[in-house]
Amino acid sequence: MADFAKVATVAKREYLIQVRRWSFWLFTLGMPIFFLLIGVVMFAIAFFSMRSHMSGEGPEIPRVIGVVDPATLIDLDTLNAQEIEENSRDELSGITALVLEEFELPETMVQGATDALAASGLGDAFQYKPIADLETGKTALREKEMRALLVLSPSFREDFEAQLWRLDEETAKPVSLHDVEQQLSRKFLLEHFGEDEIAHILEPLDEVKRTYVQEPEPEEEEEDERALTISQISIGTTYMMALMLLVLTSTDRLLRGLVEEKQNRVIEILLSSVTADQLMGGKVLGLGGLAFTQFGVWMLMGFIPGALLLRSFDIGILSMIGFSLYFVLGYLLIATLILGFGSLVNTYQEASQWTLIIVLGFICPMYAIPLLINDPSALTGRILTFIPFTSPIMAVFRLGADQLPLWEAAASLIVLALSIVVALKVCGKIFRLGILLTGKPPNPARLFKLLRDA
Amino acid sequence: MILSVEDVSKTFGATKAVKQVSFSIPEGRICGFLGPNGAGKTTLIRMIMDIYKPDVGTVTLGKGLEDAKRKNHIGYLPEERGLYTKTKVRETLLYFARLKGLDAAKASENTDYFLDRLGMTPVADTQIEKLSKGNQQKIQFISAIVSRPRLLILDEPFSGLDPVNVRLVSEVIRELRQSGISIVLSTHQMGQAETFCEQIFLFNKGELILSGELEPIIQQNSGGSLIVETERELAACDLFDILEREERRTKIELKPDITTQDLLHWLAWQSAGLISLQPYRVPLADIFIREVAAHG
Repeated sequence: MADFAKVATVAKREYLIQVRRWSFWLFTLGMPIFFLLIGVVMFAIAFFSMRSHMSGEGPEIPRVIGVVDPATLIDLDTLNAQEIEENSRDELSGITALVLEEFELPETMVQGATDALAASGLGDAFQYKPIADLETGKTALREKEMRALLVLSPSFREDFEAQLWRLDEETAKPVSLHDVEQQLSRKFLLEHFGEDEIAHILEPLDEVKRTYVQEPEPEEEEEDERALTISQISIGTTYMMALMLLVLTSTDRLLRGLVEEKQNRVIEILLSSVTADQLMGGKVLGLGGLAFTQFGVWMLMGFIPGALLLRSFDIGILSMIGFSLYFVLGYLLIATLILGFGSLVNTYQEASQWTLIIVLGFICPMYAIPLLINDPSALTGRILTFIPFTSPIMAVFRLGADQLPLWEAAASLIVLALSIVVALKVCGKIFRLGILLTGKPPNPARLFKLLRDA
Repeated sequence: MILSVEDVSKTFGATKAVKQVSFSIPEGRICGFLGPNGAGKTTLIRMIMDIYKPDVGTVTLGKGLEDAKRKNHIGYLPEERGLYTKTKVRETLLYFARLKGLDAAKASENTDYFLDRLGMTPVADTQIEKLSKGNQQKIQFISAIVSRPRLLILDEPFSGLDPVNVRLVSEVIRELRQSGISIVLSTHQMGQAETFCEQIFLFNKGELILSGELEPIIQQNSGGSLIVETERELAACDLFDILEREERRTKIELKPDITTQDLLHWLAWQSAGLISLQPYRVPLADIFIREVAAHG
């Protein structure tokens, strides 16, 4: 108990010294605002990308469908004039529905966004443009003057032969064809043909839609269905960024404090009153408590209002417990490693070099996130969930995205906890050795020898 | 005994820092740890403080003192000073006192007492970095004694202090000694060791090469030499050998079977004008140099 009293005394000091600094509050209060700005940017990107996704191809391609109609079956001028107003309204209501479904924003908020969209002209209707022949139409497609080309045969009324051409490129995914089809079937075909004729037309249209300039990959439809939603990515990324910031800022404070105490020679006085383990424990606890304070402030400023405002921003109790566990264990692991290896050197610069590999190992799962967006159960993500270094970041991303099965969470937490036990044993030894070392830090071979002799 | 060190050794890689050292520190006395740089004093002190573990041997506290709380019973002023420069004086001292196991009230009481005793009360709420070097040294000294430990280890306690503060710190050290605290003074200043220490431990290359009560060691090393101060230059004779001569002071060594009485008669017969006659006291520095040279 007396031992813990000293740990608590060290922890209290470490906590109070940091919490009194204005830089701590600047960072703690400024970070949610920074995140809010990032969130607005991400939201805008997601919003416009989704709108583009709904409406077909990229916004730089005019919303034009070319029509090769040698038999002059359709009066395109009249059709265009009729459709502009209706299509704009339909387009906007489609986007509104999407926003409501994806982000579950209150309708008043959506109205503002839709009005802004309407004012921007992004809700323009499709226009139908007469094209002389197939070759001219294909050239216009390649030069991105239109999004699709409908070719009716000269004897369409007799043979029902029709082809739909479109440019195949990354921005023109098959799903966009659906809109074109809808345009054709719902407006165009109904306007000009009888129900019997349409039935004949739609069937071959399903076949001719494969007649693209290039065939798309058949698996893409399937992958899209598995991909994470914007809200899952948002919560996962928020979790990941929050954990990364909390752990890295806290461990950086640990390292700076330790190096400062070595430089100003306080360390020997401290060790004349407490053991190296008590000192290490007090530092880890004190700055861990500081990180929890930061976490609490961020919750009050960001998470809770976010959860209340956005119904899709679901931060359930289990999810928060999971986040807290990964935070505590991740922090303990990284803090232990950083204190151990940081104790061997005498300047912050040297310490940063020694601990860089630990930090890189910790944040490297960030680079695997793009893989998980399209395939949340990707093997890479699962493997990184079980590696102690990488598991906190990877697991909280998957947790936030609601893609971390309970058994995987439990198993990875156990692995993480066991790795902390090993790290405490090894780094505790390094810390006891390194804390009073001065001069040039030992090379790995000498360090191994010192550890063996200790 | 307040502390017993038995057969303690410590090796770092190929360097044997301390070699089978054994000694005891008696209660309520001031002892000196002497030795050249690299003699192993700091390593030994760190083992006493339980900062390093000995490879072999034991360090134990005296009766009635819980060895598990050894750090609480020993105050330590290391040679390499260090303080939290951005922190205020009183806050720093309270922290160090709490780390020694004192409760908040006792820590506060002791802090205030020693701040007052060392004349530092006016700067109690000042950041340490704003103090003069001498005042920082005094804060460092207070941090070692603030818990009123049973054993106090002071490594070069007077370095960086002006003569006024040397006197002040000396007074406090003697007060602590009188209150029953055992004190170990580790120093290169032989004059200070002679002034304060009742017992000395001389280390060289990790070994304890000389230890014991200071006075007997000095007398033993002084031999039968005498210092004679006369008005006229002392002439040579069969009663003694002249070892050194400096103006009117002559260091002599009496020949076998010659007594001080014989010498006095001879001086009177010679009309040498005797001013003083006293036994020669070898400086501790001479013993230090001689012993270290003798042990390679």
